[in-house]
Amino acid sequence: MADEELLKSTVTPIKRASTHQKEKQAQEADINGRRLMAFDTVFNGREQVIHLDQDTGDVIIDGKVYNVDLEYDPDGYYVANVKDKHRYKIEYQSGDIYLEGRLIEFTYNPAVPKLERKKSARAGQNVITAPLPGNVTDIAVKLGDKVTMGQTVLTLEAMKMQNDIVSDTDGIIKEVYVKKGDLVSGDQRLILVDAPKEETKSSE
Amino acid sequence: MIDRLLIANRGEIAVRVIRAARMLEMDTFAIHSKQDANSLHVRLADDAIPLGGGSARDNYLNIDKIINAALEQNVDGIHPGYGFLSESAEFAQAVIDAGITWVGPPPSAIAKLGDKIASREEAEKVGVPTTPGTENPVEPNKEAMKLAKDIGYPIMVKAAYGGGGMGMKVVRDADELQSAIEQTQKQAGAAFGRSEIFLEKYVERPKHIEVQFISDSHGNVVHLGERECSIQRRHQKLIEEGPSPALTEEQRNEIGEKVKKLALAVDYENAGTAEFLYKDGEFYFNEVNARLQVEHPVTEMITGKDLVVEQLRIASGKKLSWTQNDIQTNGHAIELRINAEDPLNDFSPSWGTVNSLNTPGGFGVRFDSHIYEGYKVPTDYDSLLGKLIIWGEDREQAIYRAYYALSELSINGFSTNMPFHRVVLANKEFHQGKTTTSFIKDTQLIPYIKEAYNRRLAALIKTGMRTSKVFLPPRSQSKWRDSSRLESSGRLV
Repeated sequence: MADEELLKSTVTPIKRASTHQKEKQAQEADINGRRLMAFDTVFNGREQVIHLDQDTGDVIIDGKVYNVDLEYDPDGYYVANVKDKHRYKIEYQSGDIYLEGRLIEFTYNPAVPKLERKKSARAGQNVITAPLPGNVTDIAVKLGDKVTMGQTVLTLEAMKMQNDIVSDTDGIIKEVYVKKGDLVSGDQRLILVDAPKEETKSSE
Repeated sequence: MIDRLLIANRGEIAVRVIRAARMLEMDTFAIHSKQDANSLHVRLADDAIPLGGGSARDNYLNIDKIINAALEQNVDGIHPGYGFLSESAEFAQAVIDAGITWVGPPPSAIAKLGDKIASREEAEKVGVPTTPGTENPVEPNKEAMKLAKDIGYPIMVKAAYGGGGMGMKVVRDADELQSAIEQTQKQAGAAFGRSEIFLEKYVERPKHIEVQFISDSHGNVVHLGERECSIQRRHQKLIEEGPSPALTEEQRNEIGEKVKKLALAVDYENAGTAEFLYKDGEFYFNEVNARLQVEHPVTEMITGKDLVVEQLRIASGKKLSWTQNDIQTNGHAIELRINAEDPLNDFSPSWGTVNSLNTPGGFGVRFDSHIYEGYKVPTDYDSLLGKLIIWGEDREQAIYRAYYALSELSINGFSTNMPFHRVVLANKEFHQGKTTTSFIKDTQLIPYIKEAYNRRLAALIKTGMRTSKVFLPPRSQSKWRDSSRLESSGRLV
């Protein structure tokens, strides 16, 4: 770097990123009247549901609107201009996607819209399975116990952490498939919660 | 010089020690659990001894198994790495009793420094600044109120035999003191079997500053400057740097000399680190880690000295290679701990296979890791995948270089905490050196990490493209909520 002053005055990617952190949080999207299509996406190892407005093309994530303009460069890559400010270069090569020059993994599938189901109890039997392999170190419930959504039912030791497995519904413990000290594999059945039948509520 | 070295550890630190041992032409022996059969340290070592499956108690923490393996292979030195048995005086003694050289401090020094009360006494004796507190256990009475008043609020009410962040309560008001002592006594009695309570000054929003030192068996000791490790989450360090932007040269030398006195006072040998809380010009002694630390590369980058090679030399009886004058710091270094964790899901652990890996390089870029493409990250151990360590001529250059090196680092197959690091490196408060142990909470980074993620996700979905190589999406993390955390690559739950 020849000129130290030049380094400090140029608007570099890190300086841009630094400015963006101070931006005001985006406005909540008004989703009334929008025709939305839901997608289950997996981006860099995590799952996220997003919605696409079928009329305006807006992307809606966590209730916020992101408008995206795509430019296609004849050299063979996209520049996505998000919210008129953030530009991301996206390239596709033999099945791989490169975002800002870095190989990433991204996939998506159309999903049944989940907005309506978010807060309602799922009637009937709900099996709680192990999110990853581990050791059952504690079972906090027994047959017949009443549980509420978010209540810890079991503790699984994995990746050197004690992880609380919670019930994602209100209900009554119908079955406990494991016992303390068991080694379980990913997706293995742990507990069965019987949820009471309830009217499904529409979106909150 | 040690000829045949056994590395009683795993993961990136085992790889680090093997690399140093090779420089001294030692034969290297790895031990490994069944789960680690395909780990990099196993492949790099000259030979590997399987210790069987099960929890760490059955392998990496099993003193008998490790000593037997060492004896069978006729090794003459054992390096314990960090975590696991590295601070076990029992293990150190067992190694020595078996006639094998222990790469670390003498068991007596380990024991003394492992006892928080004893190490504090030693520190006070040599003038190392300690946290004001009570000498003896307190009861919920007027005397405690007076002692607390002398120390000054806020006060930490602490279980003497506690640990892991439990049995501690912060009291800001004199009215709450007595009931806090009572409560903590009950908790401590129940959790640790001993209800003795101490009072200590509670230092708010401190910086975490630690001093690296190393001594030989001939009475020579040097300090290699400090590291600042303020960016932590639940007492787990995430970003470390050196030198600390908060210290002057004078402060650095002063605290360094005091730490050297402490090392000599406990007859210390080999590498160690004295940890302090630091606030408004005051140091508050916390503890000494009587081992090599995860973040040692930060010191290596700014001093140009290979600490692990020196550890092996010292253990082999050689005199310390440097005098204090030989230790010069140059530039600034930052280390980012890359973990298999999802910062957007409360940093819950992720797992899977490394589908693809691209590591950055170039001037001042160092990546210490044990992962490789196709590696199945085992779920039994901590989530550290590797450390990205960056050097720059000054702090600003180091930050910029770290930001760009991180943008080149690509690990696919599961979530990593790289988005967290990216946001911290671009953060204004971080640039200004306004780092304290409450940094993550105070700067409200998580909502911004989500926003940055959302924008990129929106861009991707609009292109309509998918990664077409077949990959299994990770299991849904929605049922997680973690309740505790351990030291990296360390003790059992």
